[in-house]
Amino acid sequence: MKPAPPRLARAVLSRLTHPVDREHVLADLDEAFERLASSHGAGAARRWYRAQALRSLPLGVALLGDAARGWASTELRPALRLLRRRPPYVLGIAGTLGLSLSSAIVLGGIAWRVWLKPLPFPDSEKLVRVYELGRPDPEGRRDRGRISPPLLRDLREAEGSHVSNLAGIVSSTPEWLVEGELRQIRGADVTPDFFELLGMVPLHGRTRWESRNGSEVAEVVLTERFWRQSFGSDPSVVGSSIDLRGVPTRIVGVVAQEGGYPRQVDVFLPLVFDATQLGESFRGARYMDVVARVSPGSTIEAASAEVAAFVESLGTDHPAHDGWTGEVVSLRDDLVGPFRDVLRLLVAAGATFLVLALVNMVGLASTRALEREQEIGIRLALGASTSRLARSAWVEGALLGTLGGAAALVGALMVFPSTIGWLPRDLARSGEVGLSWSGAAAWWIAALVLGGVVARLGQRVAPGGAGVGSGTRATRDGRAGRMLVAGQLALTTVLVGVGSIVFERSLALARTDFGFEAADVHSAFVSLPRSTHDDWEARRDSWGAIVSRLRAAGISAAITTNPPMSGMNSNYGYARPGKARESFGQYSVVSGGYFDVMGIPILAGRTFEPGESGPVTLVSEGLAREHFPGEDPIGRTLSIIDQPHTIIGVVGSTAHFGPDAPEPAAMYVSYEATNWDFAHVVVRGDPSAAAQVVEVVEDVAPGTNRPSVVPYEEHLAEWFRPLRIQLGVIGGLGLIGGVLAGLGLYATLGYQVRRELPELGIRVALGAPRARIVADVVRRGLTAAASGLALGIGVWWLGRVRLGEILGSPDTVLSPFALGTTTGLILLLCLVAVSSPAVRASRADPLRSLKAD
Amino acid sequence: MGTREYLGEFEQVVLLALARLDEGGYGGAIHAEILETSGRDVSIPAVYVTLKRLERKGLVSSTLRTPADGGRAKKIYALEPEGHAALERSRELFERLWSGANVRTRAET
Repeated sequence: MKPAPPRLARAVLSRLTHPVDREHVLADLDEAFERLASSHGAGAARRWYRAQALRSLPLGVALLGDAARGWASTELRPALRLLRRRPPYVLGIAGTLGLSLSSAIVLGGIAWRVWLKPLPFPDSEKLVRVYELGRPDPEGRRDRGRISPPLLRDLREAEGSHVSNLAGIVSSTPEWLVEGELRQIRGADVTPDFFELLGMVPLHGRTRWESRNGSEVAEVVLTERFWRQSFGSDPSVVGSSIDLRGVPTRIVGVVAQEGGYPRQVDVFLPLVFDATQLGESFRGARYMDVVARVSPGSTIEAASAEVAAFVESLGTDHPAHDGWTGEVVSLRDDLVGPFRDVLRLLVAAGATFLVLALVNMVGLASTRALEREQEIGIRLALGASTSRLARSAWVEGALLGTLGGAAALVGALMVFPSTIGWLPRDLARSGEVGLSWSGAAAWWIAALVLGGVVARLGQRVAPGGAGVGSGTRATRDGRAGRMLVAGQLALTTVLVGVGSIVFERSLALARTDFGFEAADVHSAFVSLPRSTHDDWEARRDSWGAIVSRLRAAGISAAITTNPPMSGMNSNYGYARPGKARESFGQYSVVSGGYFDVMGIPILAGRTFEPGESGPVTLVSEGLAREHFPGEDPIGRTLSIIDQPHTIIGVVGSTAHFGPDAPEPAAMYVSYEATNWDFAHVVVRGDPSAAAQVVEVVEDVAPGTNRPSVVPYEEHLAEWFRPLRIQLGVIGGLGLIGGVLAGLGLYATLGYQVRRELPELGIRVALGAPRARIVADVVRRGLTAAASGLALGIGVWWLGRVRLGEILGSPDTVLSPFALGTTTGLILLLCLVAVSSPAVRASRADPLRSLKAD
Repeated sequence: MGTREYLGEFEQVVLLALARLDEGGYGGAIHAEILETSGRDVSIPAVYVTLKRLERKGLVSSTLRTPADGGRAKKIYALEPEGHAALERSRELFERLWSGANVRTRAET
């Protein structure tokens, strides 16, 4: 039998040869192979053949270069030339793709990084947070509570089959004495099994506490970031001692902290409980975050049911748990908390925009294919194959996709840094938002493919556009296009409508009387060093000295522990003596000048006198009205935290929780009667007054962290921040939706006008006025706009309750302002979108139409 | 190709092999000629790639010829005057470089 060359080597050689020479090369190789086989045997001939294949491998590179050059001249250059001739088309497709893709990248990226991306812990989807749920209110809603030490112990001892490795964590602010100065750092006190639960392996030393319940072994584990910043990454610090909380504390390890949990921690300290903390009186002390792991084979739902049943069973013997229940939620979900709905909305919006953009781009591409109908017909007549035409469309589309992808990536990279500023600070992983190189590459490739798909689909949808598609009946009469546009306009209507509601609400709230005057007020949070201020008198003296020193310098100054709209919340119980029902209100420790500094009017009585240390209080107007109706409250007694206080004054109520929340009852007591080691120092005056606060505080209480003095209006800005975020996000989504809807309308009408041009030309020839033709196009555009608007307003009306819940204002309705703004904007958008097709229709050439016929 | 450009080493080998063949030659014959005279078993596809490049430069030309005995059609390459000139230039260059070059042969060392 005649020997044959090795198949694989032959295939390789065939591939490595230019098609023009392939036949000759293979024939020459076969000839040489046969000669060698007859002279040296088949084996030697095969070896030679394989060696030929190996030696020819470098030719592959040259061949690729040739192919690329050939492709560039046959495909790329014509595509570039075509695109250069139609900048509006390029802008339309690349712009739409860029806009929709950048919004998808940003919105999807946010949702992925802060919520969907698994936490960087082993088997992280099994990590859960445990809550105790309070007694139900009349509507059946329960508040979430943290866990008390006795409950954590009970849950551990119960040995449930669905939850394991329960660990406790409490935030703390230990003071670190370094180079003679006290520095407050961010700590997390954690139970011994915390590190094991999260699978956090030490970089140096160990993470296992030697401290046991009740023992006093002082140990600390540093986080890697803190170790690098404060100890210069020196591994030898492990084993050494630092002064924490006034106690020599041994550094036992360094651990990497990733993934935003726990948040912003410098050091981990042992969380140990003494007998009192584990006793019955501490069952109501729900101050601890508890994390755990769902047992293998179990689910979060089963674990939640088990914890709920266990907590409910405790109610029988322990009154603190009576009526309470429990809940287990995914730790990853818990970290986004109430923002999950918003994140879902963002993902849905990103996906919707992308789909709408694709449909619009197909519309634009089909209009383009129609424009080239004649040219394509000539190419087909000259013998171009349909596959060749399809390939050209792919190349043209992929080029546009590349452009659109680049625009999307630039847009996303520009927007991402500012999203970190917009995102609520409560989002644990908000700092991680960004775009990775691999993500950017994947999105760009996706853009390229999408561009190709769009161009090809556009070619297929256009009837006879490439001689390869016939178009459907629906696309021929434009009904599908108009319905789609109406849908897009409906979505835009809802977005613009909601945006205008939020805008209207922000304006109204900004004009609300907060009950105090924030202008020209500065505040500084001051935390006195515990080591020098562990007794009441020392604190009183320091607070007094700070206020009097500032006043001596001519500055209107005071202190308060609970300033309004600052995020502080001290909800304390009070009651009129003899009344069984206890009420709750905001409790503030202040100095006498507080009301003057904050511009809170004293409506009756007086403020605290210097040296007034007796049990006296000022109350808010709302409290006085509710509890002393028709009476003069001055001189009456009010029991605050079970201590009788004499009311010496009534002051105006303040919007403590913001202008849209009810004004809470408020009680004020003097810092000379009771005080804490932290307070806000508030001053009224120009920024130079603010600068003196730092100087005085550092002078009066050395070792205090340098306070940051901020204009009080920043607290208000922080309060308005969620509204601004809502406005920004909804406004941004509305803008994107509007641009997409406008493009959709433009593409649909443009397509129709292009198809009708011959008919329009004949109408002109028969004497139809051009104005009527323009009016006809505008009418069609406005009809689509009106249907979209009506549909959008209908959806808005039906979803007003749900929208109100999402926006946090249940009274969200269709206000005349919102309706007027929305209708105006949508009509304006539609007029802009129809202008170009209308102008084109008005230029229909009768001569060309008659010639064509 | 500019007239002042010189040939690459493999281009020279292929051209010389072609020059040695009477009435031109095809890829397989050129490959066999190189093997026989230099002992180098070069890649046949590489020979074709080089011939294609030389043809683009105008140094060789090709014609498709079917043998009278009815064998397969072969692409026969022939050296053009420009090819001869290029080979001549290369030889002159090497001769100029060799003359006066102090190169010790193995026997001398």
